[in-house]
Amino acid sequence: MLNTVMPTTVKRSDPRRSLSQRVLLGLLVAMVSLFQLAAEENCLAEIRFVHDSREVQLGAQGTETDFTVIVTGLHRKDLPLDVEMVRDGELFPLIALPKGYTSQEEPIYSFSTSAPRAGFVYRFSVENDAGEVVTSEYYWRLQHCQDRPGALHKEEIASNGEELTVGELAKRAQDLEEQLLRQTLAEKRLRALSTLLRRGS
Amino acid sequence: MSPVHALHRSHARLLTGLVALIGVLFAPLPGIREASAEHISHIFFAGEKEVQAAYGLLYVGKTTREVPATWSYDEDRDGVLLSIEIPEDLPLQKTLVSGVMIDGSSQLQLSPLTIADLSTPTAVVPICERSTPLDLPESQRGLFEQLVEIRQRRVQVSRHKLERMFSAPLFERLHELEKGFDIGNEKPLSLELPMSELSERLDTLFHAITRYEMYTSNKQEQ
Repeated sequence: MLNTVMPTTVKRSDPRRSLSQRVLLGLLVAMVSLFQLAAEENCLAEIRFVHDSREVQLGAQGTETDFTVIVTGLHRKDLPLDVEMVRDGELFPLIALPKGYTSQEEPIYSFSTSAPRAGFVYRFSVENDAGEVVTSEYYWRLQHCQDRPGALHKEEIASNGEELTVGELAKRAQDLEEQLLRQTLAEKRLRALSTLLRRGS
Repeated sequence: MSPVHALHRSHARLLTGLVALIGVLFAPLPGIREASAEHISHIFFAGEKEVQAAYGLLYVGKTTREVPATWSYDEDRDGVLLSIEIPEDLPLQKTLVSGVMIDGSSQLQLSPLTIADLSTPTAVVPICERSTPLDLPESQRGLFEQLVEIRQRRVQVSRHKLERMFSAPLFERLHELEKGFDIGNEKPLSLELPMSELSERLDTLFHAITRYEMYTSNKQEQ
């Protein structure tokens, strides 16, 4: 029944073929080992924050500023990124979620916040696979100069109707653009806050 | 020129080159020079005028050190500038500094932490000078007048949108939330605030609520 001996034919193997098979097998084993090693290294890979603060475009105070950071070496790709942000000396922590992935499946975090009067100091932190918090170095981005405290922005001062020079008109156009950007951020945040409150109530 | 003279000249050139190379290679790096030099961190307390006492707190790893601080009132920035000397033995990049002061009304004030090699931005970024308008040709007046008109209209449209979204109960609720999260200030939220302050406060509150929601939903999942 099951113990039936199947007839087998024994062929004499070609020594050259046998050698090539051994070489192929050896190569296969080596490749599998390399893959395993790579996979292990990936699990234990060091977490790195790829971010260049010089790429952060700082606009006028109160306008939207975008930040992007890529985190390499993360095993879980959906973890939130904690940002310890200090704007003009005032600390406010914020959180960012991955908005996309690189071709190597590394999460790209992006978030935006209101531009400071003088500057930002910030750093990132994320949990590694062992549940430990890994923190980046400190980054900073400073404005070229800051307005005097309490100074009203030009566009908020009512025009007194006097004739402006062409240079003053150009400056006025720039001030209006900055004001528009501030209002756009206020509108965006107000809309988001209304939605959050509606959802919460 | 004799061959011996030419050889001497080429040797002299080679020697000069070598000396220059050694000079470049062994010159002290700027970073090293800065690290060994005395360093002062500046911390800024906006809106303050009087100080009864002030000192700096330095955190390195798990140790805390208290150091004396000097202060001065900065009229341009309208606030008190604390200068804290960082001892030479401390690594600037790994040392965190916080300014502590007792103000004119005997209130204790603590500044946020900052790294020792970077002072509070408001303390170090220069105050903007009044910019002189560009000298542009009169022939461009029409173009700039049109541009100003277009942008004025865009600002007005955007302002109307904000006014439509505005409601007193909504702003009151947002101000209550600011107090709950201990952010913002005593001034109630309104469209009358300077737009830079309004957008900043709404932005800070938005991030505080988003972060809070994220953590509470994570806790509930666990």
